[in-house]
Amino acid sequence: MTIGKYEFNDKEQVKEKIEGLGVDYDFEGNQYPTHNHTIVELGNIVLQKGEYEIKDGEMQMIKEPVLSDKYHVDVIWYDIESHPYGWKTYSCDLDSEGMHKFSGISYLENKI
Amino acid sequence: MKNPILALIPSGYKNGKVYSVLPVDGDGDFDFFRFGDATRVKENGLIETIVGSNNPRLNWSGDCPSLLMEGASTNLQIRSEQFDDAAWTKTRTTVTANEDVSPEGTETADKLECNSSSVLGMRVRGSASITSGSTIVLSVFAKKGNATYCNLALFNDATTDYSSIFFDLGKGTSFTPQTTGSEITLIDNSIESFTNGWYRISITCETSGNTTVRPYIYGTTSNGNFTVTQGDYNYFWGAQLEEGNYLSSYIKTEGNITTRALERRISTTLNGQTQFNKNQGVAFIDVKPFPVDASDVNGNIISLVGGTYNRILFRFRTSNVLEFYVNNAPAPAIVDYDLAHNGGRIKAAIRWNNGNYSVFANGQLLNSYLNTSRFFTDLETFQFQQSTSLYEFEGEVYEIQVFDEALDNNEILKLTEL
Repeated sequence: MTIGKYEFNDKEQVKEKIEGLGVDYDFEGNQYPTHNHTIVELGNIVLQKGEYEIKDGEMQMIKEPVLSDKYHVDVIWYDIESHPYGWKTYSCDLDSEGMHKFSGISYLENKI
Repeated sequence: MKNPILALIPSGYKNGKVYSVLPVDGDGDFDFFRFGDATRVKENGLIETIVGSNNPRLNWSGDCPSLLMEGASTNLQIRSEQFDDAAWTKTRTTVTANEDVSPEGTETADKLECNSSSVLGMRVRGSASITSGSTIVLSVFAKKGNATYCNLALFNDATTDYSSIFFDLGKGTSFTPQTTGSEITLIDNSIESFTNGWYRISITCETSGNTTVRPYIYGTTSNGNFTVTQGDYNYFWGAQLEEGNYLSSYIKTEGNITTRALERRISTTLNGQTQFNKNQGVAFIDVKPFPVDASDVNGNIISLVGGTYNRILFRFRTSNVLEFYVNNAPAPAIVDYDLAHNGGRIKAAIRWNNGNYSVFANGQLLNSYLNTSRFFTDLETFQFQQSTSLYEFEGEVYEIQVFDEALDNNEILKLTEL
């Protein structure tokens, strides 16, 4: 088991990459994954929080939050030790757990 | 009545396995798969973290344990047990950390005390990023202090639109639901009793047009308004804000939002045994399904399958519909029956007997079918999904039985009595 963190261009690209990990179809024609990986789509994450204050009983934003223009994805990889084809280009190498983690599993200790 | 060939009454497990009662040689034990930790309620009512991947959860939500199976969920509210942290903005509220014993039995529950009398209430406020348009379940564990009531609210980013409801922490009831504006709509609420005076309270809201929402937790001494007096206090622990349409088991967060991974690939093939009887038999389930999202058109499935097309499905769909489905070919189904149920625990069975089929639920025969031209060629796998990693069942499993003979109506009616 390894964990990878990725920044893709957009949600559509992520959909293509996930389908590239392996899919099959059931007897009714429904697509399903054939892999054991666990994928969490975080989307355009907040890089810097907005700032707010209450004036006259009303909440007012004094600084807008800064959102990433990348589409972020965290993955627990099952039984692979290196990035699948087409994923490495979009990988991140953090020196912290990042803004998201999997319960009971450290990214730093299981980094791909 | 003959013994079943397969019986699962959740009572024992090891890493990667859930033990079946029958067959006794272990050939019917279920494989089990989940990455990482997850929590359950122990027999004594305390919350426990099941540490490590592939460890099943026997959950005590009543008099007997159930096998808990949940989809992946992410607690989007950081510092779920640390209301003294800057992640929670305080208004007329002083937080004393680790002042009471929490629902997990450790002294980690925080005391939230009013430091200024007001009709506007005392509160703590968090913040979380969400997918625009998602359904949100907000929950927290609450315990009565010298204040009796609290209020749980979800606001939009601009704090103009919100939904809220009051809870009576003495009686364990909720009252005065309110929705203001159109961006946060209250669709459900719950209050569940835990040990030592704790309740887990929750609201479920539909959202629109927001990628940030703000959970508010109020303490109040008044019945139905926010009035507080300096010195009023309650205890809180374990806040959770998740996307989805049901309240899932508690996920602790610290500085990161945290995901509990999906439980999946829970199945048995009666390894080493002959297959399930393809000519006659009964599949029986006793489960409490979790609600299925309206967008999930395929639902959550428990199945007995074989070969390419043979399948006996209990398919839980949106709006509390249980679909009984039997087929053996890429052709119209042999059995396709929809039962609207109340969303609670349900006992259901499907019987097949040389071309005769019947479906049962909660002590009633629902319908019968005859099709003597199409028979199963294989029935080899019982699983809590349709195919591998497809439409996994989400809910609590109390009992599963599969018989290799067609029981009579009276036997199945008794078996499925609630």
